[in-house]
Amino acid sequence: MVVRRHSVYYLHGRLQIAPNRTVRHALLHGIPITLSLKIHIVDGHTFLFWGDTLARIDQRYRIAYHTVLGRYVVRDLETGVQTSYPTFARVIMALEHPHEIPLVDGSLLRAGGHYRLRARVTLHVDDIPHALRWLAGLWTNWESSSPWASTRLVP
Amino acid sequence: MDKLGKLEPVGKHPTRSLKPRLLPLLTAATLLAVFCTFVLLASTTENPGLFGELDIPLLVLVVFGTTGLLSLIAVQIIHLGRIYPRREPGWNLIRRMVRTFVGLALIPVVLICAFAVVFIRNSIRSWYAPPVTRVVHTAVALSRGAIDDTLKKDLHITRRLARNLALTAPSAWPFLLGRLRSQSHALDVVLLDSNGRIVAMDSAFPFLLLPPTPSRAALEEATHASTNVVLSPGQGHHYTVRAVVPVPTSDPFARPLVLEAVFPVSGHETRTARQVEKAYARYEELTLLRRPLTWSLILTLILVTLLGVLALVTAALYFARRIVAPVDELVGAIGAVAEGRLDVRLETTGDDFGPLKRPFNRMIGRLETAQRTAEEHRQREEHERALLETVLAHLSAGVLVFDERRVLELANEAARRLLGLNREQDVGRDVGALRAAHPALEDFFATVDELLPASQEEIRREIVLGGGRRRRVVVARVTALPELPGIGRGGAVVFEDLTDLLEAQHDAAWGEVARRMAHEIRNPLTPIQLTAERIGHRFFDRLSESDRAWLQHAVETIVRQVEALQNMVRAFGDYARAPDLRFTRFDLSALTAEVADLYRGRYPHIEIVTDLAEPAPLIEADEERIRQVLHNLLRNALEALYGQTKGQVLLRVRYDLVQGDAELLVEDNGPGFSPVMLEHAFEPYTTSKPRGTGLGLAITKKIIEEHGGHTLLSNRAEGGARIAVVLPVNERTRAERLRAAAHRYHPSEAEPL
Repeated sequence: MVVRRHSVYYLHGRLQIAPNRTVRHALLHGIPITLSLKIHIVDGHTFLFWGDTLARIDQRYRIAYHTVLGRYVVRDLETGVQTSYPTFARVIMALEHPHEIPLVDGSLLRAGGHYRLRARVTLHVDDIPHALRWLAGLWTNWESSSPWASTRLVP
Repeated sequence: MDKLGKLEPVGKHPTRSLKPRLLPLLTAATLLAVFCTFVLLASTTENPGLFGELDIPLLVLVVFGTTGLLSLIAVQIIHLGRIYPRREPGWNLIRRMVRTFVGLALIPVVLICAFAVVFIRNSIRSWYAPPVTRVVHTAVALSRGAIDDTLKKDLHITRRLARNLALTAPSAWPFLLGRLRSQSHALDVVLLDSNGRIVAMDSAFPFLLLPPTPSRAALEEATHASTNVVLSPGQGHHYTVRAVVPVPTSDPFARPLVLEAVFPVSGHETRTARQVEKAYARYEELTLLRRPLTWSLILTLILVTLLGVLALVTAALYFARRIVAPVDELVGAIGAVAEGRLDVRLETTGDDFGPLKRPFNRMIGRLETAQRTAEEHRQREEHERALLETVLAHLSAGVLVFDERRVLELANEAARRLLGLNREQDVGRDVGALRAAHPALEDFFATVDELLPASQEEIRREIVLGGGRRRRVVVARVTALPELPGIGRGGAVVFEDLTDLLEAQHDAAWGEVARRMAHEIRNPLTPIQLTAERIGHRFFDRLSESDRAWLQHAVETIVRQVEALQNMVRAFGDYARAPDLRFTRFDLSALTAEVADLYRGRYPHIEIVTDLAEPAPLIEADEERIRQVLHNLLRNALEALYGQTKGQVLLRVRYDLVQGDAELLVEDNGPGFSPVMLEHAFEPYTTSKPRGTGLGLAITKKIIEEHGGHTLLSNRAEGGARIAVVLPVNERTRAERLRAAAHRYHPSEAEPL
């Protein structure tokens, strides 16, 4: 859901995060994973996906499991705010409801215009040494991405 | 030595093809890259964690080192590829040395590599052995236990604070919270309702406006009479314990409140917990990346082994070439000497082949000196030969040199011109072939053939040649030559054309005869004539009629013969004297036509035809003398046609302004000149006519030669005689011809025989 407050559009979303086995396995073995929520605001008049992108938002969270604490710590890489959760399900539950993510300034949108909001979620393990990454990629898939989801944005 | 050429051994071609400093630079850079690779790998062996940080530099170094080594090997292989087809000396030695080097080193290297692979796999497997895993998990459990104790302690304190609050009136909560926080050493104490709104609070940080509130989940947990205590990573590197508990109340209608207290965790506990955390994460990471890590190390090892092998091959090739280089250099020097380069010298400093190279250099030095001397001799001979050829070319006398087989080896320009020989065709022919090729020179070469086996003394022989337009007289001197290289005991023939000289002498003698005759005969003629006439007058009346007639006849005969003698003497006088020529400009064609008209019609059976060039340029000559020439020639032709029923005389005048000549041609269809006449026609008193004086052609020739021209006699192919007179048309041409005639042996005047 997109709401407008003080001429700024905010996203209240509902995501479905389904990390694959490799990602979960890596997380449990102490390797941090990154959740990336990419949101594009595209002018709907342009052809397919190659239209003018008015705004690009990349909301990134780093999820690490602290063995000693026995808790999952989620750190917002933009703001630096971190929160801990007792279970991974709680982490997913918290991240599946993005709350008040600023999207675009209303002045950039034309009244009556056709705009689309596209979003995708990516979970990937990016803490592997470079030398091992290409070799590790031979055996496992260290990244899990959702397809682009699209919805109409009416100013 | 500096002036001498430096040898370029065949083994240095590839080096020469690269930039002079590129190869050493590439070698140094490659060795440095390989060395750095080994150093970095050694450091990662001690600390595997560095492997992840140094992966990019390692990758760059390995790629650069491999490329450099492959380039160096390529250079060596290119060199081997160049010398292989030629099987140059040293090739087999290089091949064997490289094979030995690589063979000796490759087997141990491969064995060590295989052993290292097994060792790495086993070592990595040992990292994950059950005891190690148990130790790691035990450490984590111990650390958790310590943390749990802290949590329990802080949860207990928080509950006690909540109970104290429950016993106190709400108005006193702010004051009580401050005291309780101070007593419990908490960082923050916050009292909140179920919606998360702050009811009261106290903080160890007085400037903190609002403390971090518990999450909605924690609030719900605490509101529903449960507890929530967590150890969270706080600000900086410290952990904090955040405990959220419900505030007990006996009033069922009172709003539910929760108390949140934040306690610091001691630095020691934090560090211990973090270290355990880090070690566990590291261990789990290694566990997860076990297979790629193993393969990464194995591949690295294989890569390093490959680098080593490449370095080994490069070193083997390099040292093999170094060892073979002196042999290569020596072979190159010998090859250069074989090609005629004697300026090469071998470097003899610091070389085991010095004892061989020094005598080689001395030998080449001697060869070079000998060659230089030979070259100087050759140049001197060439110079002398050129000088001789120049002298011979400017000689007026002809020179022919025959070898001992009588083959013509040399003919100077004068000889070629006088005899009409061709340098390319005739030089190299023997005398027999020359006789066959030049029938007109039969007498000449027959004489040469006869005289060639001459002794050392010179033999002179006068030879008459008549094959050309003019009869020529040459005097040949044949001399035996000393034995010469390439010629043997040959002979030289030196000959001179004396035709002009003899003719001049002949003309001078006839002139003297004519002058004397004119002088000696003319004087008594007049007294003879007068005496005869006086005898006639004195005795005419005294004689009988018959005697009178006889006397008159005798006197008339004497007078007539005296007159004839006087005419002859006058003609001789004309021939002998050399009157001054009076040159004027006149039209030769008009003069010819005028003279022809005088004779035309006088002899009905003879037709006089003129062919006169138009337009006719004016020529410079003595008109009266030329008129005399025309009269002589025309009269000579008409007399030659005496008794012929249908005679014809042609007078033709042509001009060659390029050469500066005018040609007068007189032809008749009479009997022509006899061979004797052709030879002696220009001599005085030579005539084929019974009444001629024999001076007409002689005077004509003399007049024409005084004008710088010449006269030629010949017979027409269709019958009849032809007399050609060539006259210079102007003073300049005439001066040139006269100057040439004065130098009778001048090449420009001479003509082939």
